[in-house]
Amino acid sequence: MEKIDQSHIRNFCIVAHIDHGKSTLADRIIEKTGLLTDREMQAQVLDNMELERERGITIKAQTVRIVYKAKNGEEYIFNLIDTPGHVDFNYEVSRSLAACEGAILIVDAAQGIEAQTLANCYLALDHDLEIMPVINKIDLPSAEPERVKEEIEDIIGLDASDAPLISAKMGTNIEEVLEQIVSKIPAPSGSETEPLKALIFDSIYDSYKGVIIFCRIFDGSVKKGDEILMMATGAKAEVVEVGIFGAGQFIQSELLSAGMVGYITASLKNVGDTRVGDTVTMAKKPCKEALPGYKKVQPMVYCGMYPADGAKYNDLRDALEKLQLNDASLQFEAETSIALGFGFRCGFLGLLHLEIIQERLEREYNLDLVTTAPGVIYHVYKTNGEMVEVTNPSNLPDPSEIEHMEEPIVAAEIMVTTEFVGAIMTLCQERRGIYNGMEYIEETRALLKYDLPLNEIIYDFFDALKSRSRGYASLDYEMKGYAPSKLVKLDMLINKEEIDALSFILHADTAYERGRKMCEKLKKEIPRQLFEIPIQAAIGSKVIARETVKAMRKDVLAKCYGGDISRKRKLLEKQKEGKKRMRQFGNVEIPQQAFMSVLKLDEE
Amino acid sequence: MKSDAEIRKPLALYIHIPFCVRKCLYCDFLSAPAEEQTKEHYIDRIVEDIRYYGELYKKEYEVTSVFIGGGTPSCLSEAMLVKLGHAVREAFLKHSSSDGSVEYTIEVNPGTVTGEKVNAIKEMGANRISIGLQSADNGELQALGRIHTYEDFLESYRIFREQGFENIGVDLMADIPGQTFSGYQETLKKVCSLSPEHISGYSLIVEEGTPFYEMQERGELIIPDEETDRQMYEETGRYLKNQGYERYEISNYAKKGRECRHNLTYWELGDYLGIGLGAASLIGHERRRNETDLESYLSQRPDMQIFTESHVLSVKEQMEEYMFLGLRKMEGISVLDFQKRFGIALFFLYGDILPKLFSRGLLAETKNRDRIYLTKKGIDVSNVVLAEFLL
Repeated sequence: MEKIDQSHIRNFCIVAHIDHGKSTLADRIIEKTGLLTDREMQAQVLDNMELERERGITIKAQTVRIVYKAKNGEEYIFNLIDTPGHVDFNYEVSRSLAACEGAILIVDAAQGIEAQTLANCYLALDHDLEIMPVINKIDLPSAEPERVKEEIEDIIGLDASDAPLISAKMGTNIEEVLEQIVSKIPAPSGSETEPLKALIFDSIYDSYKGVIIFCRIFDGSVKKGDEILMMATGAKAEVVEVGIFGAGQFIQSELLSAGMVGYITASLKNVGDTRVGDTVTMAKKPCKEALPGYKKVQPMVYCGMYPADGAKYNDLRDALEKLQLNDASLQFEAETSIALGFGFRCGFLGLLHLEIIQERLEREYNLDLVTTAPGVIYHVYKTNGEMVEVTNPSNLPDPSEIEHMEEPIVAAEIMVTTEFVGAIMTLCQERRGIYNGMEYIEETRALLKYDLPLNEIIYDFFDALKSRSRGYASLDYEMKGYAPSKLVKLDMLINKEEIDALSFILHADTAYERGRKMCEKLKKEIPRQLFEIPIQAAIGSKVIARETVKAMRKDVLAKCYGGDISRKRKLLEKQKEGKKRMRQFGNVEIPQQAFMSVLKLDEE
Repeated sequence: MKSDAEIRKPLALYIHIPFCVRKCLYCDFLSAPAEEQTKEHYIDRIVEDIRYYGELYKKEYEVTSVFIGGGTPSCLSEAMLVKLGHAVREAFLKHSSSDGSVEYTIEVNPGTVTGEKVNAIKEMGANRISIGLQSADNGELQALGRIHTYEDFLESYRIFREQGFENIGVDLMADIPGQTFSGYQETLKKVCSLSPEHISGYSLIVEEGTPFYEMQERGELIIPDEETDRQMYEETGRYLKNQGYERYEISNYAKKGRECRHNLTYWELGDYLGIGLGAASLIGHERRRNETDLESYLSQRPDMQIFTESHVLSVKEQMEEYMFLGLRKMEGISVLDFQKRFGIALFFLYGDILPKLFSRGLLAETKNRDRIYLTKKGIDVSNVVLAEFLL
């Protein structure tokens, strides 16, 4: 392969608020550079997981190398590094950004700047990227490109005077974007003679090739046969293959050198060895110091996952292991619930990550799951001076042994139009938020800053935010640390028996309200049985709420009409089918649905 | 040597008349008002079927009961009734060895009965009348959307008796909107004073697709609660027993020897042939259901009939049905008969389920353990119990 001069490489990513058109612009860029035929173009080529397509969210960062023949007659290599579009994956975003010299900032011409626009843009600025604003969706009747330009200049302080006005959907003005990539985004400037220094910004597991490292070469070069070292994990391996990213395929090449973006396969079997953010160097001749910014990603949200059919326990473990091959941030360990049997306590980056894993388990691995309420990592300080981390409410030490507890707090930024400021402040207060100030972005919009307990936002905060602002509020947050909190464990008792899978840890002030709602919801979900079933919410031995499922008094077939037995059979079969989906606790049958329903208490 | 007639198998014949004067608010049966011409056409059509099946089954089967149900069979004209009756007699009863003892029921609706009609019914050969009264309270009848009053019923009843009908059944309903416990007691009392041979008592079931269902969805249907329903059920058993009626099935009560043989066939897995729109059959071990669309049904030929359902019961299904149908009878099912029929011991097949149901007081067995039956508590929640017998 012809060696490419670094001055003809552009490494960039696209940052935007969700739904502002990131993936669509990526598609257009790939299309216009002509490396793909129309037939190869799927609607959004970068988001290649089915689930991502459905949710319109990029989960795993994808990367593509394309060739652009600029108006000056020269050919340029573009490496477009896609970034995940959700706050759960902030760290991955930051590593993708670190692999680039520049970023295209897309702003929706109708909606203007949103919370994630700002958050992502600041993140890009933190990495010294050249930011190139682009105004998208100018085809919308409500588009106000001039106003949005002003916003970009006023709020972010970027020069937006020559920002391309585009419609990624219609393909309008895409060439201008391409030209500006050439003219505005700096070329890489690493040294090819220094020892290898490459940044891992993603890695995936392939059943044929093993682990595939996605990396950006800063200094030096790497080729087949080299022995490489992952500086943070200490893993070593011999390079089997290097190459670049075609659209949706890996194209083998001889060498990856400074400035390039590509992949390395080596004899590695575990993505845990190739963590995002780690530095790849030569084992025999390592670089002096690793690239900055590496951290081991820790799950923030935990829940129990149990197979609905106990016999599928091993299938669930296999599926989790397979998913983990590709997702080092997913953690799990076996646990046992009295109510749900054998399952796993799983750790996730956030609730979206949890939902995605759950859906993939159900869809790709055909597993029927029962999930317990998601929780965070609590720090429990015991009277004996010991501190334990608790993710499963059942593992909470006896109250008499607890000195105090701390919970994780995030710093949240919420952007909202001024008319909804009151409603959003109320919401934040309800969720135990601590007000940290408000900035007026412009006359009609404000950026609210709150410290919020993580466990208050992992359930349905985002939904509540959207519904109370008619969809206008946007949210971004980052971990801030731990703070002492008056936390209690709420237990649910059904027919006087504690159902461990329904217990959770929460703030004492919200326990009563939540206990009441749990009781109400369970009452709705548990069908009447032949005897009365009390449902109680309790803290320790103190019952704080109670409902009763009345005994079934009657369940008799209607008139057996004209010998139509099939109809009667269907009715009985339906009854039996319903019973199958129940779990038996003592004499009580509880539908699996009941465990899931209490996760969404605020829906109605 | 026995003649053919003596070794033929018993068959219950059901004929469906899908017409009525007006649809009641709770009704989800295959029935609707229709033009006289449509009724004529329909009768001609089922007469073809009656002849066809009469010929087809005459060697193998002997009809032991006839049930003409609906809808409202009594909304047919006298001429139509006579035509239908004639066809049934010619096709199925003429060769019967037990002509006189065939139970021959026709359902009637009080608003449609006149002296002429009763004569026609008599001419058909019917010997049992099933009158849909539902309630002796005119307010409740109105709430149900019935076309008749209690007085209409009394008049119909009187005519039938006058014409010598000795076997009359009256259908009653519990859980009618606006019904009270004492109102229901009143209905029982009034009806018993007439001394019909048979009484059916069903609770209203609100079925999807009926006006009642829509009313319930809107929260406008106020019916007695379950507690009251069960009180009424208990009262029915108690009061009727005092009056000389025995409960022989979950919802059916009869004076001695007046149990409805036709309906018992359904519960005992006997063969029955359904003729007419949407009618169900069990022939051999095959369950069938006729076309349910009137237009399509009318255009079919008897020998090329298309069934909407046709399914040969597996042994497993037969066993399940034997249980969930047989247990509807108060005498329950015979352990020995089960073993004889299926060659497997009941307590082996349902080894997990039976002890559980016994211990929960939902099922009981006779002292010598030869029969199993629903307890009072088991009747109340019979769906739960019967569903257990699905294998």
